[in-house]
Amino acid sequence: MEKEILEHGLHLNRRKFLSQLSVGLGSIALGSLLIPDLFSGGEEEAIMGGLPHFAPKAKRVIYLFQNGAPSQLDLFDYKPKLKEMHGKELPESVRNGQRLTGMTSQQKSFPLAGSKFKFSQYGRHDAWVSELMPHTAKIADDLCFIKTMYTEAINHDPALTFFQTGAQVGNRPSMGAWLSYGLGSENKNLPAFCVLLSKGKGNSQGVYSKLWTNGFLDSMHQGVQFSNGENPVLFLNNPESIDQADRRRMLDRVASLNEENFKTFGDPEIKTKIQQYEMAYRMQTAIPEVTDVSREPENIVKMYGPECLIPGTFAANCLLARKLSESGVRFVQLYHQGWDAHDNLPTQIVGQCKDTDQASAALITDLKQRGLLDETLVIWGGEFGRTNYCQGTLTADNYGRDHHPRCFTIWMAGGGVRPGVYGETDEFGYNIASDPVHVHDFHATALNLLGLDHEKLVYKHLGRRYRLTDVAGKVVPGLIA
Amino acid sequence: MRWNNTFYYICLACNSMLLFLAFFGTQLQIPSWLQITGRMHPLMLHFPIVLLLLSIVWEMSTRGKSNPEYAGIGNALLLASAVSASFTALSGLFLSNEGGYDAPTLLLHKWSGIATSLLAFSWYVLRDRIRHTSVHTISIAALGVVLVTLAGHQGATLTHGENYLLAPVSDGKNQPAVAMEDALVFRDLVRPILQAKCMSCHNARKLKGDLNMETEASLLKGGKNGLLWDSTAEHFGLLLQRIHLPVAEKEHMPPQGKPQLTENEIRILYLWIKNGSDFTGKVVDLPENDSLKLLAAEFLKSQETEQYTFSAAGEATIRKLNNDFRVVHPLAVGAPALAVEFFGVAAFKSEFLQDLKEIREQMVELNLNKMPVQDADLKTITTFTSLRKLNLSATQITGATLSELKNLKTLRQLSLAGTSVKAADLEGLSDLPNLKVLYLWNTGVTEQEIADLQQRLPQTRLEYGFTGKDVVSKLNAAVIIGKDDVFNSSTKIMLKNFIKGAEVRYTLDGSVPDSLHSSLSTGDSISIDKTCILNTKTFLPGWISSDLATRSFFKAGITPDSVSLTFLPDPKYRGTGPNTLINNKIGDTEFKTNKWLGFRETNLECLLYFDQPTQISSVYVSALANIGSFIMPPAEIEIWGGTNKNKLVLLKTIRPEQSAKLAVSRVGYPCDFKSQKLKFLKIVVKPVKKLPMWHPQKGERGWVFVDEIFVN
Repeated sequence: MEKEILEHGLHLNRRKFLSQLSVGLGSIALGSLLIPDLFSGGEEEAIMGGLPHFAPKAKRVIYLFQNGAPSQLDLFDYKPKLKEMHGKELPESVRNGQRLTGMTSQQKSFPLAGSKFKFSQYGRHDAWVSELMPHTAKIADDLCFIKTMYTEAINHDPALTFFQTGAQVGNRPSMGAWLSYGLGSENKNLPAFCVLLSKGKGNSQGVYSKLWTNGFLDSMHQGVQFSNGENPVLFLNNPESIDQADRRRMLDRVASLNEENFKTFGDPEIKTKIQQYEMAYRMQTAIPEVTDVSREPENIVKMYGPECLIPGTFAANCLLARKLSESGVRFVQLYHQGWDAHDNLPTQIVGQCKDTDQASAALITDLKQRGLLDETLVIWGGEFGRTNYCQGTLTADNYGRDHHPRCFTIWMAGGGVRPGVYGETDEFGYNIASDPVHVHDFHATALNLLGLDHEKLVYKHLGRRYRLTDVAGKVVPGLIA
Repeated sequence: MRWNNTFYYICLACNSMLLFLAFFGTQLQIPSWLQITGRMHPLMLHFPIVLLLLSIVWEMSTRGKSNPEYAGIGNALLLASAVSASFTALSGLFLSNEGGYDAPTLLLHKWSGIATSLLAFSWYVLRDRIRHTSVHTISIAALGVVLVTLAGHQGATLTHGENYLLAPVSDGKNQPAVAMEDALVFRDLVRPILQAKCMSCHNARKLKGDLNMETEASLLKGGKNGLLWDSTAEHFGLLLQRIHLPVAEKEHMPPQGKPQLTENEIRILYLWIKNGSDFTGKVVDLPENDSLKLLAAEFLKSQETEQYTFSAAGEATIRKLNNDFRVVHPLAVGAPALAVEFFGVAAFKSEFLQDLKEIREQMVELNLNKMPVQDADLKTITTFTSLRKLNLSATQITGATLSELKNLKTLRQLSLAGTSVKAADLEGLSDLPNLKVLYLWNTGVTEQEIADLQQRLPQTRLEYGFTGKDVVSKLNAAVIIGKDDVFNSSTKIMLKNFIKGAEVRYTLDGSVPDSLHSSLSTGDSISIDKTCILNTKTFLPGWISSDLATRSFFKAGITPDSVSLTFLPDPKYRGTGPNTLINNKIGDTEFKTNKWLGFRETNLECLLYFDQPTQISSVYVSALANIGSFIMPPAEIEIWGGTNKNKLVLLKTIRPEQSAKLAVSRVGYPCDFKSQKLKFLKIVVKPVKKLPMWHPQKGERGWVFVDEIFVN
């Protein structure tokens, strides 16, 4: 892989390199350092798309993105103090002049809102989980709750883009694209990076294809969005009156034309295009095989909930995510919209949890019972958290919460993650008390679990080397088993 | 002299390259032939150490004596030191690129090594000037000793591990990990915590607070404030009380600034004291699922990084074995161990497995999930004797030949989930000494047999997964598929069911379907020819019947020739203009679409105009309720009509019921009146001025949302 990086980045071939350096023993040795195949010759491609830098704990990722930002204070971060002080003003010493969104910064008062929901502790790590997530509570022993995630972004799109690409402004490669670039595809008949969308009834925020972009990486690393209709991957079927043999002949002819073109121009995108046609051809058999849920046993349907058979639901996407992941898709990215509860949070969150709780937990159990959980990293979480004070009018049992980037909870499971509860927030659930985890740290840790050194996974673009973690990020050892 | 020059230039080249690589070498990948040079670093390093020390001794002892013979020997020694040091440093740099070393130590070793090489080289270059002044000789010699010692020590730390040198004299802080089976709760769990966090003060010499924690007897004795634990006291006594105090408090232990106990360490102390602070108990004797036992498993876990001693397979072999449906790859860069995965059910052939014999020694993981592997194929698999992880989930094996696997002595993980293997087939697995996990979900092994099996495989964790046995789930309602909400003469719809064997029943009269009398959907299309509400529910024995799914269908009425609105709708919800009301397009419960017109401050007041006087007897107002978003049924609907725009008469008034139960739903209000010929119809729909008392935002103004008005 590093060889590919170099060849892309430097656009060097051996002859050019040697001719540009003064010839001598030293420069040959150096040249051979920079282009390891110098003496073995040949233009063969690397054995795989790439290999991990060190033995990985996880091979694949399933990211259950909860878009809109779920309220950590109503799900996992239990704060009895807020209940005690329900309706009282948020002490200025806690907020300490920190920035708020335009939606509440003009508010005259910031009444604290205790969660309406009951919390209990579960599992051997005594993790707090609210009554909204009964299924998640049952698998608490497998989960690593990071209670002290924080981000700099305060609005949905930048925050989401930050989580996905390591930068708040678009155009950088998404996490899945980086993995596809760094580790390559496991199964050559499926894309390495797949995207599945679903939407709850709560107030929702948009997701856009820039979130699964390849950015400046080769376009083959882009996420492939699956649709909810009859054909999960659009335009994959042969048109009427074209059969497989015709298709094969057509592709062969197109490929030879493209090869000619490549000889003339040497643009690597032409090679990519040939590869993508070939993959699409193989996907014609692989996709129906992997998306067929009709043969799932009844206990699987019961575990994910019967909704899992209705395409486009979160449950169906979780089931499909398992099927894609076990078929070797490196990165399956789900987005579930509808968590942006600025008002009527208690009503909205019930619906959102109903949509997601059972299927998320089922996915973990399902991977576990097949022996796949230890090689699959599952991540559940939103782009930021929600405030401990009420947005709008606070009543005894209704409240809304604004965006809160300073602390929020996400969970991870499987793939070498150490189950337990990581980090602590203050008693108001406003600031981090110990062990903060920044988005960059989260990326660095996730890459580490996948056997990648986040400082070495680089791509040179516009004159400098880029990383998913850009110039920051530290691996958090406490999250790794 | 010629030799001297040659060596001098080689040394110059090596040092330049060394500096270049040290600063710009992070992006390099070492080709395999140079790796050999790198791996000779441990051999080479002895030369510069000896030569440089020898030079130092020589230069020191001959300092001040201007004997050309002495100088000649000194020159040779210095050049030899410089050359060997630069070779060693360069090879070390290559070796470090292979990775796997502790980063901070490596950094220090790298730079001290490079510094040593540069020092030796510059000493050689400046040898005459240095010999000139005794002070110079002494300083550079001292610097040389420091650098060699530092580089040498850090290098030893890298190879032999932290604290290797002092381990024999330091008091056993780095004891080897104790196996779970032999571990004692006190000796191997509790005592190491006390030793690390408490004994630096509470030992026989310092005796802070008159407390010595070093022996069992002194622990039981306690300190000047009393006993350490007491089952009747809060937090079971002094020890835990002190630990639990806020860190800032003076009494908190360990004192602020000292290393604090981690949460798990506190839990171990707590559980041990709670269980009676027994000094002799074994970890394995604790009950299964005991919290302390689980914690112990985490603490005592030996480092399970596997070392593979076999040689790597050739790159050409690996390349050859890779195809579109079989992926063979090393576990990581430079690792000899290989993982093999199969994809594509249709493409699988048994020969694909046999091909792997070439790498049977290197293959440690084999994933055959979902592949049509047959019983006979296990014969091939059993020859892959390096396997650690074997996934046979959802393959077609029956288990009859499973005992073949008994040769896989290193096997740690075996997944048989989703196959038809039976408990009896698993007999042979007790011969696998290293089998840690066995996945048996959805197999022919019954739940009753699991306990028995566990006894026969005591070292193996059996994963039985989710059976769904006692789980009663709720069906989901059929999905109503139909293109037209509004139709002219008739329309066809389908009810799509997802759960095998479930009955889909429906009604068209607004009543709730039941499992006995309502029409049963055969899966074919259903024809609808009048305005109606379709209700459907799904039933299946052993499941909770589904929620109600409902959808309204409207037969298109008489379309007015034009429509106008007296007041404009709210700018956010203005649909596609007044025409929205008569365009035969129905909105769904999502109100932010252009199918809906929304009013809050004013009434919806629309005038429908017919070119010709038309016989009309009813008006149907189709609206929305979304109680949470203040969208309420109208407070009142008035229908006015006539043939003269200025002389309309009130034909009908209705006042819909306000109900919280509506939640989010479509609502419709038929307004029938005496059939008559009309040219104008004025419809006034009034939003509620004040939300009712039961509404959380009582007193606020409500909204009305209307998507369509049907005239008949």
